[in-house]
Amino acid sequence: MVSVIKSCTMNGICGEITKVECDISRGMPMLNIVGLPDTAVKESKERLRAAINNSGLTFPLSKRITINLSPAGTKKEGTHMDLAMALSLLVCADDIYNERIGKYIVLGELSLDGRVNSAGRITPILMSLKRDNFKSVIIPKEDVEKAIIIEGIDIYPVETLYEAYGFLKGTVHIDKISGRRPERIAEKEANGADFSEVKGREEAKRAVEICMSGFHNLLLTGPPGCGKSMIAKRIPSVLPEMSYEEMMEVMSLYSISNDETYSADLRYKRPFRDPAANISLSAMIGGGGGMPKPGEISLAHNGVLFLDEMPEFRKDVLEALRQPLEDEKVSISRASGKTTYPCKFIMIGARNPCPCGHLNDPLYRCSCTSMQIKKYKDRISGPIMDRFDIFVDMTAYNNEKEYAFEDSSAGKDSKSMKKSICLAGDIQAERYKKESFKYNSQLKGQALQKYCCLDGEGKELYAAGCSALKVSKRGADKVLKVARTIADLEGEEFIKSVHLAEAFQFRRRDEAEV
Amino acid sequence: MKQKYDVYDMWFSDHAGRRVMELWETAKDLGGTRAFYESDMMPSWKRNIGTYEKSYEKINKSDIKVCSLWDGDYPELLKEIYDPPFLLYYKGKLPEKMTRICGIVGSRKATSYGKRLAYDFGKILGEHEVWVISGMALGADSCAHKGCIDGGGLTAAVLGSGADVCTPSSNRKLYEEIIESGGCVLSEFLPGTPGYASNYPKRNRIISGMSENIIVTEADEKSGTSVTAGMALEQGREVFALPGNITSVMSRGTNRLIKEGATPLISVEDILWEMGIYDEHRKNKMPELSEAELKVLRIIEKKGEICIYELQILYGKSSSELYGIVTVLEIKGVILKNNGKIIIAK
Repeated sequence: MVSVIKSCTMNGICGEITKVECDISRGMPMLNIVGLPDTAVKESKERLRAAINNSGLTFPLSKRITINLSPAGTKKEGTHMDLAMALSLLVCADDIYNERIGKYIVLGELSLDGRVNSAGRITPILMSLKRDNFKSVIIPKEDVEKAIIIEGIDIYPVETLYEAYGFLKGTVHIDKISGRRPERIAEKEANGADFSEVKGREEAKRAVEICMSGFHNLLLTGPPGCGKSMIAKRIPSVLPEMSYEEMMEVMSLYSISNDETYSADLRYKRPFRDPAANISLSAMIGGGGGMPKPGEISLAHNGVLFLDEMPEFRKDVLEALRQPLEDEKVSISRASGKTTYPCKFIMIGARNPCPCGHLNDPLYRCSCTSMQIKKYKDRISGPIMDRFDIFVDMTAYNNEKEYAFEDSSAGKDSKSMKKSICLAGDIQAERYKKESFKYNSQLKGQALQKYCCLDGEGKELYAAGCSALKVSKRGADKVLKVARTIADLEGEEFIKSVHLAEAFQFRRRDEAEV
Repeated sequence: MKQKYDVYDMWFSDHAGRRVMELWETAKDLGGTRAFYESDMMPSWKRNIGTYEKSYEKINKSDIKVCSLWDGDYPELLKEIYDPPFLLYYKGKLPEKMTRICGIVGSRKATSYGKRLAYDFGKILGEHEVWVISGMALGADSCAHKGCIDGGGLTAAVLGSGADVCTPSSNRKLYEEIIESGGCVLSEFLPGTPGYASNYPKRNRIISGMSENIIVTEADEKSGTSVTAGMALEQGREVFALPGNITSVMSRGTNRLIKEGATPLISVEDILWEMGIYDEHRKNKMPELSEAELKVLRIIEKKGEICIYELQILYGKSSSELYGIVTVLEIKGVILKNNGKIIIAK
């Protein structure tokens, strides 16, 4: 007699159903686990024996037991299949297999005394189960908190192996818990950091507003102390909230990487990642031993990746960003297989105008040679520069007092910025509801033509601007996309020439002359 | 109507002289000029307060306006000098903020060369909306005022007498024309004060103090004009001098200025170039600019190099509108923006 209990293995962000089959026959007493198990899975043999005996259940003696993890050709990792294997064995031994038992997905690790421990990365597994229309799951009680945020899933929490087996047999009743969307919680002030504290940088603040609205990438250039990092620190305070689907993606990625920084408490808050400049390639892109873990770019999925002092990053790390930026996903190929993680993020880069930082500074003399400056600028290669939509040069002021920076009424605060960003986001969501993309920065080819029409005056300005200001074709498309976002920020249906004119201000400028 | 100044301010203004900033600090600490007067710090000055009471009455009845150091319409540049006048009495309208101002000074005994060029410079500056400041004296000063008015510009005359006293009296017609055309006649002296010779060096510091730069048309080596030029340098103003024949007595002063480092003006249009203003020829080649665009251009011209935030404060409109204007100016090739700074495209 054979029994089959369903469990799950992870492949990248996706969970795959694994059938845990068990066969008990006469023969030499032994327990074999087949189906490419790794060490952790192989070791569960010992846990099974002890847990079953210590639960007051009977481990079949003097039998040849074979457990197969199907599909048998893919590698199995982790200890979360312990419970499924134990149950499969018990069901097989008692010969009580029926269809009801077959519809549950079982996850959980066993401890020797028969208790069920946390199954670890449960969020991504359950999410993909939900996608594949599996509904009922038996999971350890301590994982309920992670599972409950998944809408439409029935959870049967168990504490011990005995309880789980009793439930399958029908002798123990367990109350079903239904997963539901977590409520949006009122937002906490992010350390009190507010954009109203950033004085005299209205251009950069406006650029941030545009970036966040249309998912554009932004490059800030400015001398040390001009407020680049200050602006970056305040970006989380204007990020709009994620949708439920977006949040689930983010939660799964963090769950896979075992990164605790993004917890359920954050709920709908978009991630903001600012890796240090000494980051390694695999930490940035994803990788590591065993199944590759998501890197910073995937952890910034649906949020912001801030690269402070961008030219100080390793060249290979920066270059590796090209494809992910284009495809919005990253494939990590290893000898053991290929894993794909999503990575749609807003890239914000910050750099100095030259190595010493004081090029064009009215107060300090720049001590760099023109060769040094060229080398510094070349560290961000052309293809990476091409990925930026918005460029802002921040200068040092030589007479700050003259302009009454303390006058706070002059600048926008985070609240009003966030409000318009959300509004622009809603407009885009409505406009692109039938499309495969969601943001203005994703407009390409035909879609760009379709959604960014210009009126007569606008066309004239666009043509004149592109030729007079020597904007490349790619640059011209970017201007158009940014103009679309500016129009959305203003709540306008059509792009007007004033929006276009403003967009031209954020274009990439010729850097040939130093 | 409540006056912004009082008798004590007038008294203070008249006596403070070169120590004005220092004394004003003291007066501020005491609580105002009245308190300063009553504090007996300067007993020797106190005798004649009655004169000021009479003048105060007189000003209230006449069309003379008064502007004090802390008023918003007080000429910006004048505030920066070491000893700005505490009160300015004037008739007409003071230059607004952000207008460009150029002083023209020259000898009273001007040659026809000096007179003609004072007129020409006045005219070309007037045509380009630059205020011309001069002293309304005979000779070069008067020509500069006339030229500016003829060019359609505004001009201000700084007098060495009270603002209501036309000195020299033979210039009565010009005096009225200046006020009618929208310019002003101003003075730091009490209305009714005659033009004492000792007043003139004081007046000259206001002429250079109000201007961004000074054109010296003609000057003898030891003359009031040379003194003005020296004062302008002291105040950090740029001095332009008109080269002349080395045999001409009236050009000795200007030629010496050039030798000492003043910038020579070798054509009338030169001054526009030096001040960063487009000449007519260039303007014709330029596409038409709207009023708002011109206003922005003026600010950039004046500052020479400006970043967008400064521009936004000086222009005072919403940023998105300003970005649009800057883009259009860039497209029209009038300005360049690089490394976050906006400059005039030359």
